[in-house]
Amino acid sequence: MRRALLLAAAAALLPASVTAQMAPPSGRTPPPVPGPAQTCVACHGPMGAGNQAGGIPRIAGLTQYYSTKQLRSYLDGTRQNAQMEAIARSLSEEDIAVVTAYFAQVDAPAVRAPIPTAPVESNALGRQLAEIGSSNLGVQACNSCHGPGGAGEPPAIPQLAGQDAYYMITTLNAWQAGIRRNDAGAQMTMIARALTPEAIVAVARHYARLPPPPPIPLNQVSPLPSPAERLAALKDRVVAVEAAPATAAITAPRLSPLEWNAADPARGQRILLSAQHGCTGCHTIPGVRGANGIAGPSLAGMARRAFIAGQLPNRADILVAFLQDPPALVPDTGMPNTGLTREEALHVAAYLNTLER
Amino acid sequence: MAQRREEVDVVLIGMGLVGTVLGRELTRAGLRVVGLERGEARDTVPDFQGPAMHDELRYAMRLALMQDASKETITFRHSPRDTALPVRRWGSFLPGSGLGGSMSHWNGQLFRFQDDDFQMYTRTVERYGANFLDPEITIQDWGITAAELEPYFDRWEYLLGVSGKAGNLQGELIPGGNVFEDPRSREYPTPPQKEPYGSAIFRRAALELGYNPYPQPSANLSQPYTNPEGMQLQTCTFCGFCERFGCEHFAKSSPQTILLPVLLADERFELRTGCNVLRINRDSTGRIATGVTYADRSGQEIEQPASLVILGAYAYNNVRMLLLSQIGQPYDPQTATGAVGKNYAYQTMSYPQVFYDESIHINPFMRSGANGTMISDFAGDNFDHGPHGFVGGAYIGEIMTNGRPIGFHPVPPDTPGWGSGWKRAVARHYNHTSVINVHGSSVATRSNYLDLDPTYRDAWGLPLLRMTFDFPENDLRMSAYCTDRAIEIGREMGGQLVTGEPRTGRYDMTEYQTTHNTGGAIMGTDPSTSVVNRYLQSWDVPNLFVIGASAYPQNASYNPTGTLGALAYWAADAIVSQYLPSPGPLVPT
Repeated sequence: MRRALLLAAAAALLPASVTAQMAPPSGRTPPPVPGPAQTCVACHGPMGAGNQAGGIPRIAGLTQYYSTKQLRSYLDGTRQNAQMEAIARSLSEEDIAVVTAYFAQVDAPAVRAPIPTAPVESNALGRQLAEIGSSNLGVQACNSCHGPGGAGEPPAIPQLAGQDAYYMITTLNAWQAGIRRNDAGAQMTMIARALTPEAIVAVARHYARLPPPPPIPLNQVSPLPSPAERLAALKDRVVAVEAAPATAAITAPRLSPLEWNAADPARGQRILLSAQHGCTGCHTIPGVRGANGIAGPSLAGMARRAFIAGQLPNRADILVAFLQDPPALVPDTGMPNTGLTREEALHVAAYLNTLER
Repeated sequence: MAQRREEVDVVLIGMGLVGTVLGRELTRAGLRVVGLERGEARDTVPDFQGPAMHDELRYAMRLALMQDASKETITFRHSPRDTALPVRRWGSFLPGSGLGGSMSHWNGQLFRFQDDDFQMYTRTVERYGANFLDPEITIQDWGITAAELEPYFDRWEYLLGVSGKAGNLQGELIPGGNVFEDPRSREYPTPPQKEPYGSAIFRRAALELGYNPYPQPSANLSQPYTNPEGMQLQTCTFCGFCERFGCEHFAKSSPQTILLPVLLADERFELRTGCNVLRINRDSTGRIATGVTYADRSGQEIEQPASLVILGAYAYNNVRMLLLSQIGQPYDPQTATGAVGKNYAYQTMSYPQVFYDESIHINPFMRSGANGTMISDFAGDNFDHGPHGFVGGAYIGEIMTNGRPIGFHPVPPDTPGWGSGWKRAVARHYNHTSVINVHGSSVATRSNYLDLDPTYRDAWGLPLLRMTFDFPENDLRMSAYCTDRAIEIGREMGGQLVTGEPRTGRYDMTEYQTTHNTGGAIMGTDPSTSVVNRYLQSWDVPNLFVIGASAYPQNASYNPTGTLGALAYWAADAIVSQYLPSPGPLVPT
């Protein structure tokens, strides 16, 4: 529920058209998005610049070496995230090469995602930890490894500047808890364990407010085979597409935190049970007796799914808009407009958001 | 007129390795201790942090962490017939200055001297006869055995968290470790660091030739470690900025990372930095030290009275302090009388190079200060010296520590010294060369010694230390033999070209070799031929302990710091368990 609230809070800031402001800083036309990368930009934003809703990392400019390692970590369990595991499993080795090469080169603008509020002392603490470290906590400066200004030390050490604040908090907590353990020397594990919650928030806020670095020119990343070389070898596999159609077409009305807060999962469950809108006829829905339809997909685990109807990002505002008028967002969908009002859609979305399994 | 401070139980001269260990042990025993450090306070955070710490020009070339030679230096000459001149720019060795001492910017190479090293004189005579030694050689026994020191070696290694592999566990030889070492009671605290590629090539070659390669023991740790004092150390990142640099990652065992914070938190301890000790004071009998006099940052002289004085400055600075304080009889090379200043020794180094084909990528920048693979088959007395006519030996290893852009540019001998030809060669060979380290012992001789310079003085008006040293013939013969063995290994490593010269000719003070200066205040069993007894207690002044590599009667093949740490704990134990209950000489004279 907390994640939904965060998403809703972020969505309140979301402009009507997501792609209107997505232009590379260089001013040049962005490269075409390869086919396998469609999956990525759906959550990570156009060009992997980041998701304005927050909580999802910017992947633009991450080196091929680093991104490849993270995808493999999702496969071998040294990183854990249900959505990313599914995605990593769905990508072939060539797909991984293509998408990591694309994101390593793409020059994406900064995305303004939410940053947690904190007392003003947090600014100084974040900067201190980044540039100097802390004797009390026993941690070195983040920039010692992550480079001047947090710009990264390619190929192995990722940039922190311009990274999503909530993602950094989540990932530092994951290091601390041992959920993420893909650091052979245990540096990040030991550092995260030494950090207090305040320190984690401070560091995340500090880096999130820095401009992200540009991608590394190819000839600086050696001696790995260059992404261009790999791309060239796979040229016939890359599908050039103008823009990510699903994202571009999304015009979900703004969902205010107040509205979302008022959404009641219990009422949503009753709406589904009432069979007034025929949900149970097509869907199997946990917690809703009599809902054992097989025309549409089961809604079990809906809260953890990456996509709605296989292509829309599973965000509160989008889910509410979809429930109100599915064909408006996904023309080819088999789900008709069932006549849900906005208020009803809110409640149903809230209930679906409780379905962890 | 010097100001006088309140008397304390112990005053420490120097807050490096020795000051830190002794400070901790003596405050634990309940004593009030003042630690005087002439340099500035330094800590991992903020002083050693990157990216600024990875400034090769500042730290490796311009020696930012080292002693300022314009304030205090040494004078140097090769032999007593020459006139010594001041060293204006450090070359051959780099004395440090600052809290933590040289251990804050060392390489972390840590060994135990072998029992043969401690009994070098007796063993040499037993095995090779009294006439085997060149007449000028003045090696002596230390007065201790490796077995006596073993628990202290163990304690020191567990304080640091040393990463290594035992070669002799309680008498059982373990292949893959140093099978020449004396029995150790237990395994190293952490496993060996990862082996770099060039070192793996060395290991394969050494095995082919029938030697016993093992991973170099390292105080740059292979994994996170909490030591018995509760200090947390981290994994070394192989950044290649080890020697001459502080470690930003808490991964290098230094006083700051292994012990100092514990000591500094103890209310019985007081640290004073920027305090340059000028002399040790004694009472009217001359037999009791009453404390020290030091100059603070403003140049004001201050007297610090104490019941016990621990002299733990850098090795040759210990000798200088004794000479300036007129404690003990200075050594005279003409008459061979006196002991203070005698048996100064160094290290005998050579560096064969293996130039590979371009298909072999060595990546020299991915290194730690104490990584790699080495052999002790030619160290110390681990081989029969009978046919060779020299004593001592060298360990040999591919233990490169860095590939830094200014300092590291190996090129074959016929390369032009500058210009496009030189640049081409540097580019061609930078990533395709292994440098083999031949780290040789240094015997003591009649004419290699330390005393005070008659002419030159430091910024406080005190005579500089005068160093008289040249390589003895014995060590040049040793170097020739061991360098040949290293070149054989180099050829077996499969290089297109293997080059290397042994150490020859006169000692060159301007070329960096090692910062392993030993002797001058040596330990022993006879007060006429040593300065301190086996507990490092001054024969002349029983409430003065002189702890440092100054105590080494000669220098062995291995790096000195492992043995020094053990001796510091050994001396501390003697002070706490024997001296404090009953102050006085611990060894009858």
